[in-house]
Amino acid sequence: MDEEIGHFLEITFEGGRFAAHSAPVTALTELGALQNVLLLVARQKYKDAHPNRERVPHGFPDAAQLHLVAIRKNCLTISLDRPEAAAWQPSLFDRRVFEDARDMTLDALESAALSRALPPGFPAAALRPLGIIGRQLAEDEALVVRGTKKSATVNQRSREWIATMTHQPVERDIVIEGEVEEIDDSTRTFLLRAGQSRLEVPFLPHQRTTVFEAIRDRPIARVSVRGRLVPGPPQRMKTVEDLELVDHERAADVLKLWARVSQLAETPRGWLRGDGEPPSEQARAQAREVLARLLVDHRDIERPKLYPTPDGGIQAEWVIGDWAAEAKFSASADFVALEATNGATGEDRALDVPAAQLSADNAGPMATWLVSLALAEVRHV
Amino acid sequence: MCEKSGDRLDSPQEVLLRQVGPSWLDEDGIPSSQAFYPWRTIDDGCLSVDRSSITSPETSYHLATGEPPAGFGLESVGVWGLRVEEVSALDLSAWSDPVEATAEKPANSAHALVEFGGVAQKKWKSLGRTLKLRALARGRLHPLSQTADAP
Repeated sequence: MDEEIGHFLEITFEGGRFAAHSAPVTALTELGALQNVLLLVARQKYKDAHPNRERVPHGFPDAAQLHLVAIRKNCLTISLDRPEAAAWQPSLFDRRVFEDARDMTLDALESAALSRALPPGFPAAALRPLGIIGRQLAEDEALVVRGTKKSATVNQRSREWIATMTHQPVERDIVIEGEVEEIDDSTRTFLLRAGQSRLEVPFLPHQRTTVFEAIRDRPIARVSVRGRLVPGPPQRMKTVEDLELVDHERAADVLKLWARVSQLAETPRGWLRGDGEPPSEQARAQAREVLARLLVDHRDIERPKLYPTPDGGIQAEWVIGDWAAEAKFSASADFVALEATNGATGEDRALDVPAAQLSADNAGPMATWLVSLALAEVRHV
Repeated sequence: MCEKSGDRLDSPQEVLLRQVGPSWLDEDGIPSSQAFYPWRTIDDGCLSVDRSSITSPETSYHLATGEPPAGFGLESVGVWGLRVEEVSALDLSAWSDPVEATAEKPANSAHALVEFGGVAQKKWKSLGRTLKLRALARGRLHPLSQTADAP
């Protein structure tokens, strides 16, 4: 055991998910990645120390293993020691092999953190495994690895440096949620829209049904994908471990809105004292698609109330402070008329948005207009 | 302009009771602004209401929805209210318009009209939106909702 830290190694998980003094168990695979590098470096060190031996002794890999012996909550620190009862017990001299391997690994990681060349003699075989350490980390997370006299920080910046030096992509294990936007059945890939970014994701035959359900029920059905990300451009997932359907947080609102649109389809001709056309199929489709997109992409905008208009359109209405706002989906669905009146000041606002600017993928102009009313309301207050 | 059979209403606090049809009520109980301005092809520029000084929201509702000849046989899902002063503030006018009984319909001495004809038709929707906000602030008057205030 080492005097300063009391253990062979200590690893602190910092930031992001670890701020609450816990760690998802998937993050613990980092310990295995680190152990793998230590073994490779230790093997090299052993051969350097015993130039006449062609092989390491029986039990050497076991002796290089790391055992978890303590956990402290500060974000989360894990203490690791080498096993006391390995099949091969190294001599005092050979014990240095593991300590040297640890120190060289820490030197390599710290060099990467400082964007410097890796230490001379670092085994080529350990370069690629070195780049794997930190694959579970998010952008705002880091691993701080401490040995007896040295320490090193691993984050996505240091990993990028290692990737540059080893000419390997910086792969990351991530969980990402988004909408299935396109499917290419011939290559078994789909395009995942997550926020403003898009990435190509492969799927397995047994996941095909899930992927097609996700595109059928968008935008309220989303997929959560756990897999290995290869940064772009274009960004893509190299492998997918798990893929499942999840509801968008506003699914209940959208389903209620869709139910109301379906209800409006039942409006009979002559519903307004003998006058009044039922909402046209085009108006219903446009309202259904655009308003769903509006709610999903703009969580601060409330679900509107929907009504038929006598000329076969659908009118969506909101009350935003002193504003009564409306979006009228015309019977021909060739434009959407946005109109609002401020009940306190009498101010009117109006904007006709061509249908081409609003779709199942884009409700931006409508959202911008509604938000401008809310902002005007805040300034007025 | 529509025809009115009575005088202009001048009591600013009087509440004008407006029936809202089922098509213009959302499932959450919120009426459309369309319920608060005349539809251009059938309403002749006037909005039909009842006067709270002569009838109550409940009586008005039952008279409107009752089977003819005891009632008018209209579809209504509730009564909302607008004060005369709120109507006047928008350059609209409210008029008494009592109706006589016929063989098919009952009399309604409380009937009144809000005249929109003095304002350009392109402005009616805007007025409807403002009147909706006023009515929402007062709440549904009959059947009483939990948030409704007395007229």
